[in-house]
Amino acid sequence: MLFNTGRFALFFSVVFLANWLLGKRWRAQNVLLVVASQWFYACWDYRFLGLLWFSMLVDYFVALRLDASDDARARKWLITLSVSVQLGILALFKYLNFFLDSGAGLLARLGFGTHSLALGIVLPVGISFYTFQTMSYTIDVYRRAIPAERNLLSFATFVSLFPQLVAGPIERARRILPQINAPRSLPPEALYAGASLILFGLYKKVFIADNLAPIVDQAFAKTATLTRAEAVLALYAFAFQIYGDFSGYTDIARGTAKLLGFDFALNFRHPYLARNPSDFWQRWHISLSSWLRDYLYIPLGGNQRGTARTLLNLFLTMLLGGLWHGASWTFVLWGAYHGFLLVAHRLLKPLLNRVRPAGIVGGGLWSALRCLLMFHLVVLGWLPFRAHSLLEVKQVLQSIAERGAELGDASISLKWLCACIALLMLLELADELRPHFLERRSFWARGLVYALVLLSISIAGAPGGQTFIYFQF
Amino acid sequence: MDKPSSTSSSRGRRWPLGALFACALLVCLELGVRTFFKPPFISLETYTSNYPLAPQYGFEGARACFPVREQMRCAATQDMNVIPHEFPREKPAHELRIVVIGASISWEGPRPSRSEGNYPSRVLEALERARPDRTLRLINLSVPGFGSTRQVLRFREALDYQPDLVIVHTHDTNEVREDQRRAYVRSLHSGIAGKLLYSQAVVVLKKWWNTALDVPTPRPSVPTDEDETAGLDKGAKLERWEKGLEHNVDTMLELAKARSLPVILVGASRADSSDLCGGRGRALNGFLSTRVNGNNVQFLDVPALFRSAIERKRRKVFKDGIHYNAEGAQLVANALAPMVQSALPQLQ
Repeated sequence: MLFNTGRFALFFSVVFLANWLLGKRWRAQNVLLVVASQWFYACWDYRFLGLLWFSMLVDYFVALRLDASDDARARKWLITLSVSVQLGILALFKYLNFFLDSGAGLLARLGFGTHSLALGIVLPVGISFYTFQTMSYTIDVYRRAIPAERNLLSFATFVSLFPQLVAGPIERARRILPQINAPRSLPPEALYAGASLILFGLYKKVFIADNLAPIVDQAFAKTATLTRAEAVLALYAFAFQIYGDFSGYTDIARGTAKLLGFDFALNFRHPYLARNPSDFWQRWHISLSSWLRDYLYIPLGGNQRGTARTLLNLFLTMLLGGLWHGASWTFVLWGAYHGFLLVAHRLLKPLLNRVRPAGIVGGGLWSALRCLLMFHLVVLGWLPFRAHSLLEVKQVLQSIAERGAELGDASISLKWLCACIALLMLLELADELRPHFLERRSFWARGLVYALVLLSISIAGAPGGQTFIYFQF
Repeated sequence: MDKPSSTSSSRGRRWPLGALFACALLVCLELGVRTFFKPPFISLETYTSNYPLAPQYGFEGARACFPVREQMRCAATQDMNVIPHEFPREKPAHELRIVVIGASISWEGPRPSRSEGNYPSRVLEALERARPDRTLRLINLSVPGFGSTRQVLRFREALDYQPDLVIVHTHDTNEVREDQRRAYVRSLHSGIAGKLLYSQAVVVLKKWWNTALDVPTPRPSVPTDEDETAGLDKGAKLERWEKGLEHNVDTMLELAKARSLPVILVGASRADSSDLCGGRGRALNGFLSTRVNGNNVQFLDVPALFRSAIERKRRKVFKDGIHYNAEGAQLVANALAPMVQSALPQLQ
């Protein structure tokens, strides 16, 4: 059930109304949300509800034991069990085919002729998100950062809450469980904010992402014969497609959660206005990057064990972050690329601080230049993310390096790109320069923007309920 | 971390003034487009080349404009219809009105000319010659491609013109188009995006957006060889069309009967059959003849009329498979004029 379909609108209307009618009876609301979430997930594939509950119950009981136990050795065993089960589920359903195929490929290269060993394993939707969410919970309980949740219903609500079940944001227990275990209200401002988030989320998805998708799809269907202009435009288009798609999804998720009385964490903050790689990861998929920071980078030693180890930790974290996105060498390359950018930035940081010009104009220009450079580095990084294979990556890079620059038919794509992103980038830039730009405007200015967004969706919104890119992860 | 994202926030407000203002703006835009923006939505070229399978989406119930004597003349339309004339709704005293409901066979074209006119205008000529003292007005609401379903809609519209007599020319050939059109409209307005196409502001802006970004003109998503009856066998389709035709003709007759309005039913005919009506036409004509009721409902058996004319003098009455040439039109007009006179005592 996609967020951008009438079916979801109907489903959510029923849930919203029922939730609202239950008023302050939060336990009854939790029952409603768990039932609705199971229905929501079953609409994708009811067979994987068992896996969701298995993952959830393991961590529920492990956390209870962790909380009750003072035996350090037993607690270590328990957390190892929990993490192994969650990573085992991920490894089985997400990575087994990848490792089998890669192993078979390696054997074939070494001269041991072998056929593909890949098994027909279906990837359960949202598996990467809910396993990471429950893992963070048990690790936090292990660290005694939060107490274990004793109420199974509350825990099930936390793990399976439908707005974030299939593609995040990866919420933390310390943030959501207190909201689940307390009466929730829906003040008018939350209602407006929720509706506004849903509207902008739909705008990003159906107007920006879905309209740019054909440009990208057409280009990546013929990577061997792309012109330079087509290749470059396809990369720009994909940069905004994936941003519109994922941040649009997140906005709708946060908006629907808000209407149900929850407050989800911010997941995107003008990522294409980042000034450096570190800044980018504080703006892009914040819930994942903070998860990787708290549960991978810091346990690896963070920046406490010398420069070389810090750089290695950064690189390893991004490499695994890339692999989290998908079981493919292209995602590994994408992670390694961003790891390399973070390492390079860490090394160049002292130099960059020294050459930074003084004064408002000079500083502003310097910031703009860094934004522009970082944006293009990120755009280049999207190439392995979007490509189906390393060969496609090579072909697109060859197109950019070797082929002619004439625009040709790509001029239409250029017009589409500009038309689709103009309003979004204008609003993002304004909000970056003056935080809360839109909400500080008078009602008529806000109304004009809302009307423009609604009209854009109505006039040029791609129909048909296209799926979200991040659902494949 | 906790604040809403930049493009989607709102502070504590009791009334969502921004949202209300946005709604007001959109309502004003829609009303403005409906009131002031009247482009030639349906060009003659669009109409003749695409209609009814590929109308420019969303313009049902909009205005249609045609060049008439070097001027664009626009008229309100019903169900994507095209009326090249404007008729006064109020009927002057002593005026007699004859309305024709039909398809391409009775259509007069965008530039009707008496000398080359089709049979309705020839009927009018004959009646005017017979009773020059009477004020007669012919309101021809025929539209090429219209099947019986849309003819019922036209019939309802015709009642607004306070007719004294209605000539209904239903043909069996257009029923397939009704099925295609229904399938097209259903597909066009399916989903939320389809529902938005009921807004004229959305359609006008969509057209502007598509032109600016070189988006090809949308075509119906229903292939022309598919229709609402896709999947049915030929026999089932024929039965469905026959039942639809009969139901629609009966609906028109009931509407007329309720207003004591005389009706003349004109029979179906075609050139490529030895009896000049073919199997489906024969069935339709057989049905129409069963509805005859004195002067209130009369039936003109066109195939019989043409057969006798062809037998008497070897002449052509069709210009193609189903449309009459000038000879055919005159023959039908000559046969219809006395029937009109017998139905309207004022003309006797």
